[in-house]
Amino acid sequence: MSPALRGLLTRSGAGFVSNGILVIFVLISLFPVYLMFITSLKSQAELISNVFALPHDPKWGNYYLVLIQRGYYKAVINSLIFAGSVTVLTVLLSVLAAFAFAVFDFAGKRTFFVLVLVGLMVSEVSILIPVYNLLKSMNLLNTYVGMILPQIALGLSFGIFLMTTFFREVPRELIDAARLDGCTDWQLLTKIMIPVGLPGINALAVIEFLWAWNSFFLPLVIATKQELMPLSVSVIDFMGRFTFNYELVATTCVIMFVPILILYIFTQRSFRRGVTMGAVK
Amino acid sequence: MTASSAKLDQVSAGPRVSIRQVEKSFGGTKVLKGVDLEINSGEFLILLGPSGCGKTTLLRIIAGLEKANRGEIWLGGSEVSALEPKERNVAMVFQNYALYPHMNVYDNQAFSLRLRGMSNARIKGRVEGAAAILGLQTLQNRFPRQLSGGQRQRVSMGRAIVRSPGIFLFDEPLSNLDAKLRVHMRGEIKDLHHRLGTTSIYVTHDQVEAMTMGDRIVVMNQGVIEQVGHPLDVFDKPKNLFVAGFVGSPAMNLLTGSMAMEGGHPIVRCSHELTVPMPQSAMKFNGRAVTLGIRPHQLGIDVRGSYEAEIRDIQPTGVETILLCRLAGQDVLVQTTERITGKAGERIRLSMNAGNLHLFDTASGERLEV
Repeated sequence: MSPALRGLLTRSGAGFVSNGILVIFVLISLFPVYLMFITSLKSQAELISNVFALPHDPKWGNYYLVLIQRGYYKAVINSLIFAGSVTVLTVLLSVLAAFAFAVFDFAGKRTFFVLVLVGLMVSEVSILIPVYNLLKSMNLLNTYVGMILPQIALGLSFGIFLMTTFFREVPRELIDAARLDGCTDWQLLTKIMIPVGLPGINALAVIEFLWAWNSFFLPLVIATKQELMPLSVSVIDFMGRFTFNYELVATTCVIMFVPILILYIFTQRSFRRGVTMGAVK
Repeated sequence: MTASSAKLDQVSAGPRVSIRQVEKSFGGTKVLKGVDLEINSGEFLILLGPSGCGKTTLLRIIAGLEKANRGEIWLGGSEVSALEPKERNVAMVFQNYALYPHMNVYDNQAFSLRLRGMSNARIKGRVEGAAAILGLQTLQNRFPRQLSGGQRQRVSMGRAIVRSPGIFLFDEPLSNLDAKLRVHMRGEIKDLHHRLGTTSIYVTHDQVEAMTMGDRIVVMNQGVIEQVGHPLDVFDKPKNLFVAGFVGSPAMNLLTGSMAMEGGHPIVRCSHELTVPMPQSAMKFNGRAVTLGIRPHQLGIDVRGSYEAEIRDIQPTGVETILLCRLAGQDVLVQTTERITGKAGERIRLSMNAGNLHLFDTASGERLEV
């Protein structure tokens, strides 16, 4: 066998193995989605006898049952208000703070930035009780504001960190040119930094929306009234002590999953650019 | 020339620039050590020096992008040291173009005018005027990523022109271009200056740019100005060893030795084999450690020459040939328009004319006039 042919076979062999591994990982990742989707279309009876196969008679009515009959459309609206507000405010505050960290020199800049990074290490569960007590003392339990503020606080560290990385990659000369052209600080932010950093802002918005949309513990503790509960919390209605409506839980999960999927499909190009832009210069 | 470009050509020569005792440090590093400089109205001044000499920092201080620790900047009759960049009426062309990536060519140029609240009709007139001067008419709707390096640099200049600034600042604007385009753009910038006559300060480390473009050159080194003068004056009469070694390509040959008398005539003794006769007026430096400078093109290859050297390397460039030779234990460069047929290891004879020699005090580095 010639060395060239051997090289080609080795390369294609290596490609086959690596592609094979990738296919396995894709299947592992997609399997829960598949399982969730087919479960959402089964009756309880069918689910017991047929867990993994496609449903014999798809029960699309499960979606009507969950959204309309059980009134979960209100939870969807709550989730949209909650995640939407958290996303808008977190992105706004992150952009403002990151702009300051990336462009200006001020006393204590490094210390403040380290504090921001420390915020990345704080877990949601560890602050649950103090946040609950704080909100209680401020009469913010069972309010949108009470749900939104702690979620913003949790997402802000990551947001500031990500956007600072982005803004620091904007060439210094571009900022200088804008200043010479006559930009005020505000114009520099709105007319140069935000348009240039748009891939990063998109990525941050998707990530923050995803986190808020899926957030469970904080809304669970803060929003105890049904009319305020987001979808992520409402789903526990189907999980009783002695019963567990798997098909309805799966239906709710699909309802939760679809908006995220749509959001990702629409923003995936800039999301991918945004996520990778911070990594490599 | 179109009517709109004519409108741009009516820009005044720009203010005189005075830089007085400017000092700047970054942390513990002193980058500018009390720089004094006067730039005439309408002058094209080159700031030349090696990397890290402080030339770009000085330019940024003039622009207002950096604040000096000490000293004053005067534009025209007023001090601007405390003013923001936008209040100084200066425009800058950057090495990396610094075009706004999300704006097309037209918007890049119109941006500063919109910020000033100028009417759309006037903006259009100005941008079209700049486009006519720089040949950008067909590129107005393109984005920076759709342009070549030369086109980007032209847009960058257009952005500066439309503002009709008092002063143009250029920060190594041609460094990112290939050699051919650089020559072309050099001509364009010079032509632009002739047409507009605006005071221009141009930072470069490229000798050819400095020699060919500037009305005057300012040679900087380690935060101080070493010499200011007309390009050929700086080339012909370098003030010290640094300027002698930095200005000119290939660099001046510098041979160390000492001044002595031989038979009543002053000579520079570089070694036992190499003694160079000097004019009688050099007698006053007898006994001093000196450095002898001679430009490579002034070392002649001459069979009757007084100095024998060994060829170490031959570098033909087409128009000329540069030889690296070993002369009495020291490396020298010889630049000749002759085609050299010899090869490394061969010996040649060199001659030098006493009138072309430069003499420097080795200890202080200062030029010694003979």
